Amino acid sequence: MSSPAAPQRSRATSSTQILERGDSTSGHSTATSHVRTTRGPTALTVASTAVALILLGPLVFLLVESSGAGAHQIARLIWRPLTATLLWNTVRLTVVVTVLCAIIGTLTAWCVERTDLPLRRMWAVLIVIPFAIPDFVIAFGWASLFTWVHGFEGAVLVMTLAVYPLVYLPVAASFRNADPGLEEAARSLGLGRLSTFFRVTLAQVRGAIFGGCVLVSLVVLAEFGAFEILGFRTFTTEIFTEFQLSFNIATACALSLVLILLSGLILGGDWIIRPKGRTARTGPLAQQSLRRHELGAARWPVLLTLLALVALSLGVPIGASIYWMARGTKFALGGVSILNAGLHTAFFGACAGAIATVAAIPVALLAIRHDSLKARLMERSTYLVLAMPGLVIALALSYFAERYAGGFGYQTSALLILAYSILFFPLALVGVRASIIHIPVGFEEAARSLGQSRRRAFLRVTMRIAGPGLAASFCLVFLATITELTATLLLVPINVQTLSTQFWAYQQNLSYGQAAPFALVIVLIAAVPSYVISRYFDRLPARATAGQ
Amino acid sequence: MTPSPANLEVTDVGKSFGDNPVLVGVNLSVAAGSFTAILGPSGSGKTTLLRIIAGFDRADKGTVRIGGDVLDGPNEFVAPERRRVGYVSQNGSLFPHLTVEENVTFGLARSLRRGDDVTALIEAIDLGALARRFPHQLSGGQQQRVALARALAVNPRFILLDEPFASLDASARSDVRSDVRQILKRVGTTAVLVTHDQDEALSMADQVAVIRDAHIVQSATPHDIYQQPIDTGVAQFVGDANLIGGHLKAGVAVTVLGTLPVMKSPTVADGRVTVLVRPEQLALSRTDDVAGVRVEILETAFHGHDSLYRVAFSANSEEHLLTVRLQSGEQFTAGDLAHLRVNGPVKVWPAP
Repeated sequence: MSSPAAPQRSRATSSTQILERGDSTSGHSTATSHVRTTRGPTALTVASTAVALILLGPLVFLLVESSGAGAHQIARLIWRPLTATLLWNTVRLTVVVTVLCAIIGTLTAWCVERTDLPLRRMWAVLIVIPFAIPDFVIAFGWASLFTWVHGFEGAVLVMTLAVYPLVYLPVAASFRNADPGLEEAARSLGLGRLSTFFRVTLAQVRGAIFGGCVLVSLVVLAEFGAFEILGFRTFTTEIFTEFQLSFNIATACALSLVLILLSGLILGGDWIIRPKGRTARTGPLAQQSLRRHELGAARWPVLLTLLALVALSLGVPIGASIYWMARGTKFALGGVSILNAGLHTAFFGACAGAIATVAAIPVALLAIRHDSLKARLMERSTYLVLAMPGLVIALALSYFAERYAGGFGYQTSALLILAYSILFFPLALVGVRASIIHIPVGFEEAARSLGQSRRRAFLRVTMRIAGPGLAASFCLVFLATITELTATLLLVPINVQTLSTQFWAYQQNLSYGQAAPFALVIVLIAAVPSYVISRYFDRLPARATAGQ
Repeated sequence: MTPSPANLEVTDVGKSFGDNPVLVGVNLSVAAGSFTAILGPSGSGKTTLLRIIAGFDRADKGTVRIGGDVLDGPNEFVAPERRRVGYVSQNGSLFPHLTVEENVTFGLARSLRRGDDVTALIEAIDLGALARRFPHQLSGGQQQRVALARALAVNPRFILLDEPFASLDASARSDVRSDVRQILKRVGTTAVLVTHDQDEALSMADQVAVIRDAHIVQSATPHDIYQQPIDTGVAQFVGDANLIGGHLKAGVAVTVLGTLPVMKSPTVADGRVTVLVRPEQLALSRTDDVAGVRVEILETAFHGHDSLYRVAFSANSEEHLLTVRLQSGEQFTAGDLAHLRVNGPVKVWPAP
């Protein structure tokens, strides 16, 4: 997968929470009753503004660099046949993969949550796990075993198998929270099974489908590793080539602008046309007597289909890794040990996790506790990072280091950690927000009436209660860095390898036997725990009240 | 513990959120060691007043003094943690990550957290056995008692109760109310309770301040608030009220219910008046020998300790409806005819 994919899918981990307007609004509505402080929380505002400025830094550098090259030059670089080819490749792939993911994700979610499918719990886990495997590992698995998997068709196959859980997760959550009584009401009003499904059931989860599709498109736009392996050219692979191999910075910037524009269009479109909170249930939540649809004879074809899906998305990449590991490598390349790479990865990840989590606290607090237009704008602006693929962030930062810092910092640990912190900030913000939003301001007021200063009340009460959630946010960012590839390739210090860059080096040299253990380790130590942590956030009360 | 209760003076306090005035020219005076209830419907501004006294919000104008110290004024603002004002919120706001004991000792210096005072306090709220439980393992009533103990542990000069019984179910509510009343009496702290429940305000407080549309409209003893409400709105808010028209002349009101004696004070000028007759001032009887109006029973509602009747009669070719509360004794059913009599003097206001 590409680095960006890793980030963004992990952002997606709490996909529903991240982009679902339903969630954030319901959050606000529960929070507004606590909002009362009228005097400006100066320290919070200053800290949040600083965070927002740093997050938007890469975008600013990019614009500065582009304007330095001159609008004419940039326009010339954009208006050429290559751009049209890349645009056509990128857009058709994004559209096809998104549609396929929407269909597969929604149908599997419906089967698992709403029918009497045998072994439901097992399927619920198996369907989601590919979500946690880096896309570059899935692409590696397919391409290394089957030579016909390449180009557009190969990219469609691999990306669909890699990211359909981004639709499955929010839609399944939405099915769980939706009121099944509506279906019964529709049937009693004379609608048939099919029209009930389309007019009622789908309507209940369309917000979630939409949110999932937005995440899928963003991930496809940002993907690098998988396309590189599959030999499919998109904006991201082209930017990487221009920057890293041809040192053609102006072209890389010009193409980045187009890429950001595409992501921005998706986010903006989401903002404008997403169906808003009209699917909230009106009745009480306590209905566990959900009657599931009986599959009857259709159960066997459904089971076979699910089995095939899991075999393709999970079986092939893991099987391929084991196969290549067993075969070994005849001509071993030099490289670092898994332990060495793992330690570097862990160090970068831990730093980024801590920085992103701490930076998210003021932004989340300001947005939740001091619900003003300014606070919400600031919070929203941090989501703009979602439109910035990891590659573009890395490119902007390395450009900045070379151009303004006199090369200072370029390919140092600090710059890589900064890039991770920016890239995964939205992920940390979702986690921190979810941890803080249900802590009433009343707790701090009670503490202050008991003689505690504002700062001590915050530390002794709010931070203590949010502790587990903050730790989970840290882990989410930490694990996301393990599967990051693109930004790492650009920014990793010389003579240092992380798990993903070492995998990449071996894979590029077709040393599959040496690459395979790295792939397996990444899957084991990153993918599985990040799945577990994403479930932690699913269980926070925010989920239960989310209207979707 | 040796609390030194303080008095409270709120002078001309005003507060707006945006363009929306929440408090206008509020004056309130609470004697040291007394119990005052601020009674008002939701949205009347009562919680805002409490939060200004606690220091969570700042007044736009006016002054708040406790024990003579200015806490909130044009040039002064004392932070909540330095006011020594206890605060118990609607849901108790117990810290979920701390046990009962740790909650109660939260505001104490580390060295005092193991003292006899603390043990005594936890015993006083009757929760000694629960000291090591977490808040989510307690009932709503127990949580509120812990919240009260936590507020009292730091020895406040003054304690504020923000609808602390509203979230309890009816059966627990009266028990917790009397527990809280007793604990506060024993400790002797000045207390201000905010509530929208007139029954709660009248039964618990020494003084009731009725707040309506950002203004305090009346501040008096519970008895006076009920018997001598300042206007018809307060009359209806603090209890069931029959309001009828009448004519005041020479200290009596001439009404469709007959000629009724009027309360001595305050004096009202002769002329058209509105008359308040509380349902328990009315009596029904089957016998024809008493003077009174003949009414028909429309509806009955039996409450055990008393019964409510809706009765109707016509006078001056107009239909009149009244509510009657009878303690016990004779029972009537819908459709019965009875005689209606008024007991005691009535409250009157000049008619609008």
